[in-house]
Amino acid sequence: MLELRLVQGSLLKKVLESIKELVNDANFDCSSTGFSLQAMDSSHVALVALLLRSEGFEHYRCDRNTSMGMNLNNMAKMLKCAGNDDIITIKADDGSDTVTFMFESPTQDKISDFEMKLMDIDSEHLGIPEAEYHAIVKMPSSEFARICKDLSSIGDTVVISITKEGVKFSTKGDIGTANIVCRQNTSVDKPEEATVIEMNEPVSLTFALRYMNSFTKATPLSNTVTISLSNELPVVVEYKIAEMGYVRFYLAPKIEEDEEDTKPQV
Amino acid sequence: MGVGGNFWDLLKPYARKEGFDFLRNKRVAVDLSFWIVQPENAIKAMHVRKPHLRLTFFRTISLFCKFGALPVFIVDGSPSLLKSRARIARYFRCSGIELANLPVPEEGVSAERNRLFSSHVQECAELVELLGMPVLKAKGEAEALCAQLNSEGHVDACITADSDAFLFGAKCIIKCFCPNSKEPFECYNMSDIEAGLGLKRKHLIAISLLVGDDHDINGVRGIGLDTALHFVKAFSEDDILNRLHEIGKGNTSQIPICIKVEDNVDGNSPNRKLSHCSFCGHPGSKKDHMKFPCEYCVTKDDEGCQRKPEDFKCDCFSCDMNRKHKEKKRLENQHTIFFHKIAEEPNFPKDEIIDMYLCNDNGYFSASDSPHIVWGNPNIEMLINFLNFHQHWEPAYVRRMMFPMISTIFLRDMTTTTVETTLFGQYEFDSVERVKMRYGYQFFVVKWKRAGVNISCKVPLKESSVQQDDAIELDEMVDLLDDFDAPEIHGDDGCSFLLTDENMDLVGAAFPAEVKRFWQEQELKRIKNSTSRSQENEKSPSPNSRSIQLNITEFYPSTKVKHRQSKQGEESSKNADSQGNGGSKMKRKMSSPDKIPKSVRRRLLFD
Repeated sequence: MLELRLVQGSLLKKVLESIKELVNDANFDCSSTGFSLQAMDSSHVALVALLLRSEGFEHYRCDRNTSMGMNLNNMAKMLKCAGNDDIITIKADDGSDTVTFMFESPTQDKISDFEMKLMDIDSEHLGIPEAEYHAIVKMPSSEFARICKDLSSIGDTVVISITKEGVKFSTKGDIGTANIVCRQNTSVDKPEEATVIEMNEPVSLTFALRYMNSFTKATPLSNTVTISLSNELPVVVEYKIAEMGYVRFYLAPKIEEDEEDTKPQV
Repeated sequence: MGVGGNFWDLLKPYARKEGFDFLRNKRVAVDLSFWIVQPENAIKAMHVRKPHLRLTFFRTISLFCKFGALPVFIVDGSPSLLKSRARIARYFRCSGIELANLPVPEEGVSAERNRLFSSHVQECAELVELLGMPVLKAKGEAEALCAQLNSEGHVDACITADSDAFLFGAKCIIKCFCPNSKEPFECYNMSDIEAGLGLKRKHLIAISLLVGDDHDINGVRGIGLDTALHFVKAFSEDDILNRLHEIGKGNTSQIPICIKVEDNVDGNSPNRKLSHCSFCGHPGSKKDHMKFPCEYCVTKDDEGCQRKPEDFKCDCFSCDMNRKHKEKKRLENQHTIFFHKIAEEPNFPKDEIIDMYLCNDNGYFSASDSPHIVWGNPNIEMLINFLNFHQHWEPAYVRRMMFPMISTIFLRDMTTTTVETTLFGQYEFDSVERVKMRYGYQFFVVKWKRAGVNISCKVPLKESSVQQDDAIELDEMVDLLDDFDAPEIHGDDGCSFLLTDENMDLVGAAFPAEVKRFWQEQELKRIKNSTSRSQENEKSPSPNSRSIQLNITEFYPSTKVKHRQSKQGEESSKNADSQGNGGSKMKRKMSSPDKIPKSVRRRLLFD
């Protein structure tokens, strides 16, 4: 049987809010090392990988490796019924077709019990190799969310360029163009407000903004976001989850159809 | 009870956990007493009216409808004299009364079981007969008749926890029956036991005679399961019972010794053990070995023999023969003790027990004609009267609980006859509602429509019916032993429906056109979902967008494919994606991996 107990239940609520827009149904894989998920969006352009390590749970019991298929919208509805300070326990018997979520208020004066049906989901598992990146940007997650939101009001694609001067986000639309440059900024008082850029090689990639905006739903999970890029490879947008794991979004780039017209001005 | 001495533990490695469909369309002999004893032990504390009837009712319906089995119920006859004596002895031993006061039952008269238990059996037999199930009465043990039917091919398996059934000739026993799990049947096959343990039926009978069983509690004193097993395996099936007879008469000289010993043993060899050196342990004397090393010690010429190590064993010819002789003596002694114990037992082995196990005349039918095993339609009116009298169930409740059985029989009959089109004269097939997953297996949820309901009188009928059911539900305790799903009542625009879970093959055979239409609708739903999704992707394209979106699967290879059948009909549609601003033009181009440049492939470690 499976029994996971998470004192900081709001983390699970935030995780579901961050991925449910991208993915409809997913298989949660539970093993002795942790609670994980890998799923693609319906058009197979983006990929989300979630890991919650077993050490991060107050109680983690997984008698054997199991996979639970869930509709993420339904799961989010269940978790909405938990208070932000509630302790969340997930239970499932071996071979069962339901999963139980138990929510306990901190003072234990209210205990809720929700049971959700599981699904059989035909899913594909992609192997993500360890890759070295040309450039890695670490910046406040709220800043990144703001940039994506601002640019999406101008155009539908974003060009992310990293040079020694900084990272530049550019878009172009019917009404004009927009450029946002963030310079490296390590002298601030709070480390989570810093923008750190590691660059081995200049990078320039184009991505669909609607996916980037979906990724930024994970902003409440972490103060900082890490963006890893290599030329001609998918971007990785990673949000740490407290001390117990991460949620990573992978997005395939766009190839310029006509280099002459859309080449960004470096 | 059955064979004593942890007999089931001996068979435990050969248990098979069988799945949900194991009993579908199989004839199964059920020992009715076993079903009655079980709930009385489990539900003593609960105040349930006649739990034996309740359990038999719901379990029969589960067996028939959910698992698709064809049960044959077997009722005990009169127990044998030997069993009566054994039962009385067991009772006296448990109660602490002296064995000297043991009453001797009169010749030819066997003690019946207690009257309360007999009346329970009678009530259950009457109930299952009203349900349309065949009921056979055994001359003696119910499991004996179960086993005989299994052996002769009239049934495919026996449901009993009594290990005696193998001794009576059963081929397949279902020991545990847990309707609430994914693998509800714990199954034992005689062929597995023969292959794994090398034991056939008569071997098992011999073991029970030695160890003890229902008919002779003690068996042979001093012989346990391991000893019996070791002895029994040494003989073939045809020989084993004859050997027991000869040993019982004391004719041990004719029994060949199991261990083959070489015949060239010299009679004088024990007395002619060579003297051995106390220093090195080899043949010879210590004085001689001080001067010259013996041939066994491999040393230089100028040194004497080596001191023998601890736990030294001499491997010269003389000592080897001596050890073999001792081993032979030990085995002979062991067998002598064994035979002596058997010979000491009075009247061993009992021919009555052997004849009982080997008898193939346990039922009231002759070998020329088959037993009367026919599954008919349940007698609804008599059932309603019976259950109203015994359980105080209302007629509406009985009909509702009976509905899965009626629907199953209806679906089966649809493939052969088309005489009747309604159930209870009220409900007819409406449609396949959806696919339902239970314990890892798929079922159709079938919708049954109430036929010919007058619109003017629908409201009072429905309300009174629902209220009645609600009132009855409160009185019913949750059954700890069995899971039973009553049909759902579903109201829709003035019509009332019942929903039952049915076997997919059964529905497919009965209503092939409906099932085909259902699958087509599912396919249309799937297409519609994907169409609406692609329409979202094709929202008003921006004139400046001339880039090609790549696919994530082009970069990361697939490592593990889980091909499990999607649960159809229950997938919720995706929420409309309102986050995209205007929506970008999406051209999904399925380019081959060769298009990816070499540097990219090298970086991804594809090579």
